[in-house]
Amino acid sequence: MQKFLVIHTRGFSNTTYAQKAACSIVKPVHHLVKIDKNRLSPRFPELNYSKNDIRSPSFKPTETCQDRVREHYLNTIQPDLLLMNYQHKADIKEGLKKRGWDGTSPYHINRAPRKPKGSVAQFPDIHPIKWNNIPEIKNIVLNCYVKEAKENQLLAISAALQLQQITGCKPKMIYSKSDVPSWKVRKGHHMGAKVELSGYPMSQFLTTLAEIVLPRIREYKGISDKSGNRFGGLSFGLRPEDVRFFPEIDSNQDLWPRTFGMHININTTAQTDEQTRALVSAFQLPFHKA
Amino acid sequence: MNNRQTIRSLIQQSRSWTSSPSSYSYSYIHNGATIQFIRNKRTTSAASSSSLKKMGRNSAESLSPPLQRAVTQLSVLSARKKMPRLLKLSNEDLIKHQTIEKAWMLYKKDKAIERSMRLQRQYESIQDALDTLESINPHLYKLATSTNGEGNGRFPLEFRLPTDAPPNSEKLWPQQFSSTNLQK
Repeated sequence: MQKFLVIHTRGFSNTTYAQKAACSIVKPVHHLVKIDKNRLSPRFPELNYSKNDIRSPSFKPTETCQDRVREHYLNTIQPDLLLMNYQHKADIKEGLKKRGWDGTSPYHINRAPRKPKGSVAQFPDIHPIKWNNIPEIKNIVLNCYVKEAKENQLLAISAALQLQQITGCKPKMIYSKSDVPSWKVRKGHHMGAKVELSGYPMSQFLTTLAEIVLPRIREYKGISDKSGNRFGGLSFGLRPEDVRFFPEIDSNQDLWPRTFGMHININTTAQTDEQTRALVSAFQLPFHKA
Repeated sequence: MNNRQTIRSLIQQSRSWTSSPSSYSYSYIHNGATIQFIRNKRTTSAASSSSLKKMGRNSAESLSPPLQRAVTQLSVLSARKKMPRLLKLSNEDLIKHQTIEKAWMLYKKDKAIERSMRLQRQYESIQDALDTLESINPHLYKLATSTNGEGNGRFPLEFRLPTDAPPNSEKLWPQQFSSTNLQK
């Protein structure tokens, strides 16, 4: 017996044809769950182990060395942040939400809710900082987009290698998403690389940046005091000549006739820009007032 | 191209001869050079075998220097594929490893719980202190809870990440340090 009944009627919404089922709904229903047949085969029993099992071929030892940044965060920065962000008798600040209709018209029934007041998008609620939601750095994303790669694709490879040398992590290639005739960019071109750091490589990168690279930049002012994306992210950039100060590149200058600037995005669990900046300032990254 | 095809056929032959669920590694000799496979992946690079060296040299001559450079860079990027040997553990070793791993996870979990409890106690004591202050001295309470605009919450730039050894052993501790001196 057919379980679901699809009624083909035109709704009041603007969408053209929303009734289409994503899979077969007539019994017997097949292929709802993808089966990895390698796992069923008795030939490779080691594939069935989880990745953190030492018998698995993709096992990677995680904690191989002490992480001083993480330890410093847990021992010192976390209690400090709790005190700094404490607000007495603070309540949840509700973010902007979509507004419903009052129901005075029968057409309100299926109408999409209105946009929030004074904004296009909804915003999350801001919870007071307590012991269980102290801001923390989630990950760091280095994004290296090379403009000139549209003419010379070899530059993008070079940029990827630069990221790998600096971070010690495997970068991902990035491709142009669309045609932009005014910039002479074609869709699908290899334009650079990005790498997402978390855990020990992230700590390593943070300390290198704060202790070696930034102090050596001439007349470096600091990260802008207005930076922040309202959701706990913070971005700044390094110019091609600043990237030369990374020890991996500095030690063999002749291998790097050309370096590439990059964007550094620090993603945190902070809820406001102010919290984000306070957290990031604990890692010796300077801020300047514009 | 011909070389490569022959190598591929050789690889397939050797696989069919030796591959079984228990064999993780196998190798064969081709033109005097051994090519080793671990978990069906070649660990000795093709360029290091003598026959392919010849081929590589030929192709290097035909490639332009920037292109050859890019090829080298790509080979560095893909070095991840040269996987290390899988550890062979006896049953006893495996149990040992799992026990240690489990103990370490438990230890870490205990530590995390302890840390969380400490933070909770800190939070509650801040709350208690301010509640008491409010009942004793409302004026001081007002001063304590007032926020003078934004941008107050910053760590000073002198706030350093601890290291095993200080960077300069001669100046262990700046005795005359004060933030007012720094600003001058």
